[in-house]
Amino acid sequence: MTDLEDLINKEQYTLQDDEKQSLLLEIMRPQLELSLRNDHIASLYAKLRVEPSSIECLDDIPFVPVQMFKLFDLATCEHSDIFRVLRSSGTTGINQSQVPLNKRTATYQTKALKSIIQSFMGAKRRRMLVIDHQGINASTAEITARGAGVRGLSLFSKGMHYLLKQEGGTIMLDEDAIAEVSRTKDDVYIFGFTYIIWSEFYHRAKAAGFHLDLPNAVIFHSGGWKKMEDRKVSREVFSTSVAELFGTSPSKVHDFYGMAEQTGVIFVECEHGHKHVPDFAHVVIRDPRTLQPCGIGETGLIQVSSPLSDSYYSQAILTEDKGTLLGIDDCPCGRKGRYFQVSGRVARSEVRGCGDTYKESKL
Amino acid sequence: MRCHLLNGKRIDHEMELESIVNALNKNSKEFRRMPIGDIVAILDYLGRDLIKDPECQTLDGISYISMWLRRSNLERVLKTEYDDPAVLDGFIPSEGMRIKAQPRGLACHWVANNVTTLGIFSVLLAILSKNSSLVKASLINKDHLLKILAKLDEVRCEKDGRSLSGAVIAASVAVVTFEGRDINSSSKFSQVADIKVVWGGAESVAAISSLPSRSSCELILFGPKYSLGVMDREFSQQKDLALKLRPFARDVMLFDQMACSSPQVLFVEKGGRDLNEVAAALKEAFQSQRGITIGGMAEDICAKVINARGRYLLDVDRNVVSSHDLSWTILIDNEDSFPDPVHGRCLFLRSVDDLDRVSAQITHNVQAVELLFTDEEKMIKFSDKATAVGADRIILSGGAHDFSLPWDGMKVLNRMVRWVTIR
Repeated sequence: MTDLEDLINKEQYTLQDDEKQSLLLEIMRPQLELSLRNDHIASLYAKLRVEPSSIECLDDIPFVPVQMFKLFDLATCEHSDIFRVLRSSGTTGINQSQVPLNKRTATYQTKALKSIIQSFMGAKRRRMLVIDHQGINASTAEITARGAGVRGLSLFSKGMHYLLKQEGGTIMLDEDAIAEVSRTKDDVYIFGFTYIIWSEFYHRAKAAGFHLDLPNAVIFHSGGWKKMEDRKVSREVFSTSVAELFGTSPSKVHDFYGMAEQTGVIFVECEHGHKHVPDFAHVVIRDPRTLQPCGIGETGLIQVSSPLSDSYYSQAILTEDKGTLLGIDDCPCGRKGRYFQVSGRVARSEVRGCGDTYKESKL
Repeated sequence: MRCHLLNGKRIDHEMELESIVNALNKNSKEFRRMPIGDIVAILDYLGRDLIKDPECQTLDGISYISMWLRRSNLERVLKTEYDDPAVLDGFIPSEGMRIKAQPRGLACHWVANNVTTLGIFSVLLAILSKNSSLVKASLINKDHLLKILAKLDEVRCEKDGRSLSGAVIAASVAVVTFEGRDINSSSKFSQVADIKVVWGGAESVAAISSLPSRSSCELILFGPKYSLGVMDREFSQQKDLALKLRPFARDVMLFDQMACSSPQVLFVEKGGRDLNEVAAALKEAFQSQRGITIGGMAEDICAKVINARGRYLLDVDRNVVSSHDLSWTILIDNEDSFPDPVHGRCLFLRSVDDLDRVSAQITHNVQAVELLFTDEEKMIKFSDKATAVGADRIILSGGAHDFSLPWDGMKVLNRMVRWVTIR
């Protein structure tokens, strides 16, 4: 029996995919049994006629579409154990993903994230530069994905600096913070959402003549590629431009993919532009029409399986993001396991017409 | 705009709209002189030719198009729409006067992107009213339309010892593409139309309707519609229910359920088999369908189906029966209202205490009501109620996508001509 904690704490990206899958299945089977305490999950398994004990590979675990976190309470622990509810986005409380966390899950998520980041940045604590404003990380019981990102990535922080500020509802450069950072001799790491880095920070900082000299800075960014593509900004242009601004190398700019419903599991891009699956998680790309796992080189919907949670159903979540499985165990960077690329959300098609109607109720 | 067909020949280059319209006007003279009987003979020949041609055999709905083009069907259509099709060829005596159906001129077609066969059927409406056609094709129906028109251009047949050429008809059609959001091109396209034939969803129909038009322009809208199925308790009690449901299952699956004629929900009258038994029969009926592949289902529709399945799988009070892939999905619940469609071959299955509960919800938004009834009297009574409150078509099992005129409650050909008289 493998201990989940050992799997999280060990050096990542060292297990071959098949070896990892059998370890994860062993860990997940009892979790799946326990998840049947949730009536909705029990309903799912009963209707699909699946018994957790009969599941023989990770790809066969019944998936929950990610949108279901907006519609159902998918808590798999006692409600009294839930100490925080993570919300995917927005502030209205309507149509938001609700991800209930107990302390054990939150602890695993933190350790998992630490383990991943460590393999890209080393274990040394650094100053953390956040390319956002402080308001997104307000201390409340329910936090947003942006806030969660900052909190999650702050594990290695020995001091945080927000490089943007919000005044009167407008986001602007925090020039004092930037000036302070420019004087630091410490190593830093930087985190921000891709689109915010580009639209709110990069152009303004460049226009203001800021140029930092932080050759050891490691930059992590995520999200918002649709808007970047709309602006015709390629990943290469983004990495080169932002690296230049901070005086670091483009190879130290890491895009990563993750989601609020799988906090703790992020898929960080290596220097070859491949997003890697850590040893404690599994990714399957599913053909959107057949729902079967795609082969190498094929594009489909990204499904993420993680054993990190025993407070909600994290063992198989099907997203609406599209990805391509690029390879298994053979990335030139040396990391083992699966690697893939993300190609954005499922787009609204133009296949619309005379049948594109909604019911019309009589008044 | 990019022109893909002119003078009956496939081309592929940018052209001024004026040049295209001039060519159509020139070509339409000979086409208008062609007797309707000759047009029918050419189309009948085309229908037979299409299913023999290896390149056309694989086109979506080609067997159905071929059957639709049979002389007997065309003559039935013309009789229904014009009473006496000879009105298209000259003045004929009628109730103390002489009457003729004059083509309105140029029909501009906006063809929706959901059904591959829409393009050719829209053009056939113009041909059967002797109007020339300018088609704004869509991504999914352009090649389908062009291949069939190319065959029409090649038709050479004989009638009463005379040689007939399909090229005369094909030359009355031009096919173009341009970006729908291009207001300038859309406005120009709209302004040359004597008839605007618009197939589309609410948004596009509203946008196209508001484009500038000639004051004499006839606007024919095939807007968004909702279709459904209704099963009476006697039908559900039949021994071979699964077999009887096959045509209905096919109607659900065709066009990935994106057509206005696609049933989105099946209401079952209580008192016969329960919903789970009907679902089991439907499952068999869906499984028996062959050759309707899911390769073309749009990804966002796939996502909608996956989410709908997820909702029904996780909800303890609902149920879902489905294929392993997205070939078909049956969503079962305890509601009796019209559900918002999911599309993607996702059929809601609901029961009602009384069929009046269904007719009470029908509005003018409803196009086809597919009836699975065994009781004739009950069927007529329900049909009367359903059509009185808005349904356009009552169809029997398997007929949802049968492009029979009238359509959407309209005698379409009748509206594509001007009725002129000599008194």
